[in-house]
Amino acid sequence: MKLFVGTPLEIPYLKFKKQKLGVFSLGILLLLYTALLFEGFLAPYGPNTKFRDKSYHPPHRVRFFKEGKFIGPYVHEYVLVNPIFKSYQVDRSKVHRIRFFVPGEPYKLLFFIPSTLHLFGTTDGAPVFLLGTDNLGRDLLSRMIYGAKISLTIGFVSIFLALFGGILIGGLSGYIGGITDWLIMRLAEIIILLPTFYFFLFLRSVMPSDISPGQRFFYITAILAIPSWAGSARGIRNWVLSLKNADFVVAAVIAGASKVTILLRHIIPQIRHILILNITLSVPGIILGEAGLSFLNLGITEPSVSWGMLMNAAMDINILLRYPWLLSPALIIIVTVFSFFAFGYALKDALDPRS
Amino acid sequence: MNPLLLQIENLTTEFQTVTHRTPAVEKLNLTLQENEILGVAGESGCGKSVTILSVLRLLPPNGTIHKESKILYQERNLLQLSEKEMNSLRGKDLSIVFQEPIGSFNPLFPVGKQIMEVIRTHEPEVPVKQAWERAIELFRQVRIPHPELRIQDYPFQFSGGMLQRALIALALACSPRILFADEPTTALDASTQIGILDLLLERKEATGMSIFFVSHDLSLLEGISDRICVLYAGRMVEACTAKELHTHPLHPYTQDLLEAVPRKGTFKKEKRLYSIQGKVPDPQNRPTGCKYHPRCSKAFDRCRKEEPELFGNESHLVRCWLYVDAH
Amino acid sequence: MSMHIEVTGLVKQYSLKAGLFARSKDRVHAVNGVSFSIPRGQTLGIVGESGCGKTTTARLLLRVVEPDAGVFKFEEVENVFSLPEEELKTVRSRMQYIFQDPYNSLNPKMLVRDIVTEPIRYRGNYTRRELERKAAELLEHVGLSPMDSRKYPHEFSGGQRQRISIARALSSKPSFIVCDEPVSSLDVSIQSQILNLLIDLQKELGITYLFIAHNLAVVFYMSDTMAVMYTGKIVEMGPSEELYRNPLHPYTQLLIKTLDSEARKDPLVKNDSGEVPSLIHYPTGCTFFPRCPRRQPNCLEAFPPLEKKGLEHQVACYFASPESSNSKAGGKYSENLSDDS
Repeated sequence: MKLFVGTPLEIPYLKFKKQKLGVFSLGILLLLYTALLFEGFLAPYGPNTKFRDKSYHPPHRVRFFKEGKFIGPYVHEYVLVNPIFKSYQVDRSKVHRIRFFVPGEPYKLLFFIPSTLHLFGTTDGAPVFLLGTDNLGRDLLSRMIYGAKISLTIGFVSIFLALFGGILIGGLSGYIGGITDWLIMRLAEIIILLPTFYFFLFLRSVMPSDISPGQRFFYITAILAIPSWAGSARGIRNWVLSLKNADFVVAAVIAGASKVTILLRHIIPQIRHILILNITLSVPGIILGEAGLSFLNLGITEPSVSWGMLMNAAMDINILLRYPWLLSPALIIIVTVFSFFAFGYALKDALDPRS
Repeated sequence: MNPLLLQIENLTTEFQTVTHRTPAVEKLNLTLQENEILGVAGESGCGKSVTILSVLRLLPPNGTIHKESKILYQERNLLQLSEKEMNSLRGKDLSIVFQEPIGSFNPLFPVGKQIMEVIRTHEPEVPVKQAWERAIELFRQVRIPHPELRIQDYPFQFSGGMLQRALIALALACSPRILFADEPTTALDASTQIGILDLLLERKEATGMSIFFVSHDLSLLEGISDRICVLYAGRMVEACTAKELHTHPLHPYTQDLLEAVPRKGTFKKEKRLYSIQGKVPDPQNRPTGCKYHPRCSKAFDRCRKEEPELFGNESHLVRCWLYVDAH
Repeated sequence: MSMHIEVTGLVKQYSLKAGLFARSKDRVHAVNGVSFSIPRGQTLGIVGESGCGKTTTARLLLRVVEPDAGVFKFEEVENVFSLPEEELKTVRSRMQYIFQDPYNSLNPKMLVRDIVTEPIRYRGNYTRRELERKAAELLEHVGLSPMDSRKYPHEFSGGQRQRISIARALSSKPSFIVCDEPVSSLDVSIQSQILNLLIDLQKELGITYLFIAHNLAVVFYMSDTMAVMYTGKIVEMGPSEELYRNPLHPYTQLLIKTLDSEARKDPLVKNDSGEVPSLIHYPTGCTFFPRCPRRQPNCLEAFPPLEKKGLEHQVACYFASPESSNSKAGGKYSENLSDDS
């Protein structure tokens, strides 16, 4: 029998494979991020395409059988009966068949190939709203698909910013020590102590208001990153301190390695898996932070779309009671956040050599 | 010969890891007599600590003992006792001293209080005051100076050697019949080691208990044991009295070990140490035939193919094909 | 005799941290004026209990820890301790360190070939291919296969890792290597392989060793000269055979007795408390006083100086004497002994 040695990644992989929930969550996350790439193809309409006479349209019910006969997926047309309270009635006489790969609004596949083909649509061009519409008659499903771009990337971008700061500040703090270390760590502690969301609000209040949507995205990303560097800086500093006196680091010092070499070649590689965990477990917090800010109309604003912003429409309890489908973005946020946590903890168990 | 106290029959213990089922101890037979010190010698991964954990049933969750194995203590098979019955034996009849005393005490309570608690757990009828006095008496027996004062100290207030004495006091609190000592002096300095060994021997004479003494240091075991058994790769390879092992080691592994370790008064100018080839086999990847054959200078064909039985008589057992005709 | 290594008056004290701005006055006296010298190609062994300062001494020599005082004459360098950082790097390529724990001394995320060539990687311009060839050579030199250079440390056993550690130490062609407990975390059957390898390398390359271990028999075996350390000071030093046959300091005598399997029957060994005085409040007199079977009031006045007792034998004890004259122990001999010294 040949002895199984395993590369540094093989054993965590085998351990991770055993955790069903973690694998399932990873699947969901991969699905969501793939969807992000194909947003134009998956969404039947553009994020800001308005159907003026269809505001607060309820979700279409997809049917397959007509008079007991299977004829494939189709929807009936909904007719506006009360223009004040926006109530609709099903008109069973009109049938719109749903087909896959139908032409529609132009968009760019993978952000650069011009195309008009959409995953699904009706044959006769009548709109279909699987998750209903908002007050301006925009398709909620399309908006959710387009919103993924910001909601799913903002977490990673922020965390990379935060980690970069964390590694730099924490690494130096641990390596230099003394008063520098003390000051940086007390500052980090103060930031950790501040209630995160209020801190977001405070930073948001100093953000200039007359800026382009692109700039706005980066401002929001930075705002979300600022409170999180403190936690990672503290963690990294502690690792640097504990590894600084490890024998192999002493050996590198004797070999004549410089401080930067030691940090990059000897210390950071030891904590690689901790950084990965740090990312996976921090992303959901950032996603929630963005959703919170946007929900209060302080984050991403029109014409950009994010999940939190979509929920802003469901702020009023009366509207929510009347048009409950407006809450569907909450569901996707919950699923995403839960998947990140489930995947993160499964990863943590897999990478922990003691388990 | 003294009456038998503990009989380990056919003990096989395995560990399940992510990828493998690893045998730690295979078909081990051992006996411990009353008022005897049995020295168990071996290197890392030879199964010596696992044997203790198997007897005390303290294996981690991924460790399993085979069904055919038997561990008889006072005519009872320890492996068939309920967890509750086992609990009443552990710490009372069977107690243990580990290599690192620090981990064996709760750092938040005075050492004396922890000893008292062990007494009161196993003998609830003893009043608190009497238990306290017994703890002081135990401290005196293990030769900790000023026992009345030290008894109130917390673990961190003791030096390594003194804490190991306190741990022995804890192990002796309920007058055990068998004391399992797992490398109890390895972490200590040379001058402190001797005191601890002497203390163990003296307590053994005074209380009539037996000691199951595990160590990697053969010369240390020769100095204190009545009988010694040498383990290699989960098997017993040699067992005899300490004197016999010193004068007539039979197994090539034992002989090589004695040649490979610098003894007192040897200098590099006078004698080159014997280098044993290769490395200790991985428990997951043990060789076929005799487990020592890849490193043995006397190995021949048969050693590579067949694993030898234990040959010899009660007084000297050896697992080696060299001695198959000798007896 | 010309010396390869000469250390004089080495001192290191650690201050205890009391807070950010307040530095506590309490200091741990780790190394207290240690002096020794080693001729080229020979081995000085240091023995002593844990905490006696032997590892600190070793790390001070390589300036992994900066000393508070002392002079270290190494080859043509008058004092390694006063060299500026850049010059230190060049000088340090001729000194290396072998660590105790082979599991902690090799970076687990680096390939073996990168580990063993690290000491030459940062100086001199070696191409990738040259480094690879060098790694293969070094591994063969210590009894490993050149193929091993593309593996990670976790694929090796403890003994093999220690060989990798030795290969790394050899790569910069050092003339002086500190071996800090190189075998104490290895299996018994592996230790002699490593000890023999170290001896062979010394014969072949003429390397000078500082050999540290707590296992007395191993240090006696490996050393030409031996120093016994206690509470940060050398209490006895001499050729190892001389020290074994004729120990003069009561602490050395105690240590040598522990080598005997019958040692526990000796009342001196048996009743030894093993308590070492606190190194924070360093006592003025002899630190071995509380355990000493020959102690006298005047031992408390000052720590006895290290004095010559023979050609190369030095001992720090007011009542240094061979064992036999003191078999009854106690202070009755004080007068005779003080005459001796």
